[in-house]
Amino acid sequence: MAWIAALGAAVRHLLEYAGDLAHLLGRAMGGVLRLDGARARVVLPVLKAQLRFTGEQAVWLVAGAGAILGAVTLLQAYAQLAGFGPGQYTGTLLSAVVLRELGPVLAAVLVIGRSGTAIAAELGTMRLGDEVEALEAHGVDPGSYLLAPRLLGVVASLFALMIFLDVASLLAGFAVASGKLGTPWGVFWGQVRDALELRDFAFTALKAVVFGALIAAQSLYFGLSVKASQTEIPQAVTHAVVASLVSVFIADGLFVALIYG
Amino acid sequence: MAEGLFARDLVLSAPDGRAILRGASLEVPSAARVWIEGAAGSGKRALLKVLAGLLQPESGEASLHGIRLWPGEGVAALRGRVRLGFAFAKGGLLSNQTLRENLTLPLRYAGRRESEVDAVMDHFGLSESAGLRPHALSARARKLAQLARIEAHDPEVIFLSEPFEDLEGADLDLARGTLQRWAESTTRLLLLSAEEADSDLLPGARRFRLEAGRIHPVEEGP
Repeated sequence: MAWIAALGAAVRHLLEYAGDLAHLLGRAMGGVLRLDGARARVVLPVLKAQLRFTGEQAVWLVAGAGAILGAVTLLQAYAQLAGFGPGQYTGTLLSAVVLRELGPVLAAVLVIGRSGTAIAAELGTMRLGDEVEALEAHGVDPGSYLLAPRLLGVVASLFALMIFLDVASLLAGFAVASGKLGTPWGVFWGQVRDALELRDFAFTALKAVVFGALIAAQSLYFGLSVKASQTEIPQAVTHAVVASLVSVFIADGLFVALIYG
Repeated sequence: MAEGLFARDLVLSAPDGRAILRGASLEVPSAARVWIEGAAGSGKRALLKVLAGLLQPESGEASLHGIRLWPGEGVAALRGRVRLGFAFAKGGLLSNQTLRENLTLPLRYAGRRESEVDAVMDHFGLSESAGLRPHALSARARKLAQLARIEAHDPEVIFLSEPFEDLEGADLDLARGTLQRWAESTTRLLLLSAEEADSDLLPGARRFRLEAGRIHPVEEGP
């Protein structure tokens, strides 16, 4: 019977965790709703800083990764499909493999590695330094000042980075298609356009919101969970990364099953 | 619920499971001056955080000026209703903000004027450090900066955790004088924690001692 108790404890722990995350997201969204003129002027620079760090400073890293992903996908496909006229699959491969699936996940993984870790470490350090308590004590709502700009910044940045990654992977894919098979731009673009559906753009935006919210919420949660010791900070960062990765993969699997399954 | 500070049967444990508060109770009227004494490690800092609504106890209740803090949402319940000032024993300043930004943040967030901040910083001898971040400040400057933030914020309730630690000489005199000036207010509630109360600083202040997780009165003020 011990395994039943262990299973029950695990389920309870998972439900408590989900409840805590929902509460944190609620605080962040409540913080957004409470932003009047004066508060918005204080919070806007925090949002800009998050956008700059998570989005702007990651553009070349994400674009480079996207370019490699697009090129490698087509090189592998052309090698494997050498006897089947691989040129006709270019658009389908890029849209189905890169733009729909691997692109958003790769962008999310890079954001977890760069920004999720930074957010967890920063919030953990702020907890140890009584900085979060100092904000609360002096009437500054951490929901508005700390949570909301990081949540919005990560979601908006991830959406922008997904687009940059897609564009880079398409350009690199075209370079490979052109170099290997001599495919002209018009044919290449026509194949990609035919393979893409309008809902792909909508689901890319939806993935950015869901993945971004999962990454930001869990990074904030584990950062704020630091209580007493500096040794908790690397543990919080590790938990944030693992939880973000697992939840993004699960969410992506659910998207595929629900939308394309 | 009555005005002032009210706490009953507060229970709190440290993250390692060690008991900090074991049924601590306290009741003081508004406009009181209160010393919380206790040996190092007795839990004074945690107690002040619980009383200010910054740290949630495992059980027990607390209210400030008739507003329920625990059980409840803590200090968030005071937002827009009671203005609080808190000087932390260590830390308490945003590490990614300059000293001036630390002082002005609560004012800007509340849509209040920040024109007096420069005069406050000058009063505390912090003008030359206004553009520095906390890590570049000395321990004494960080301590004075927390008092300056309270001065600029002009709160109705002030919590001071070990307010004279790291201060000596003219800085100590400045801090003592500031506290005496704050204590002159007939509407302000002032709570201080220290290993030993300074009876000369605030004559007539109520004294309590935190020992073994409980609060005991030391001496009643007139």
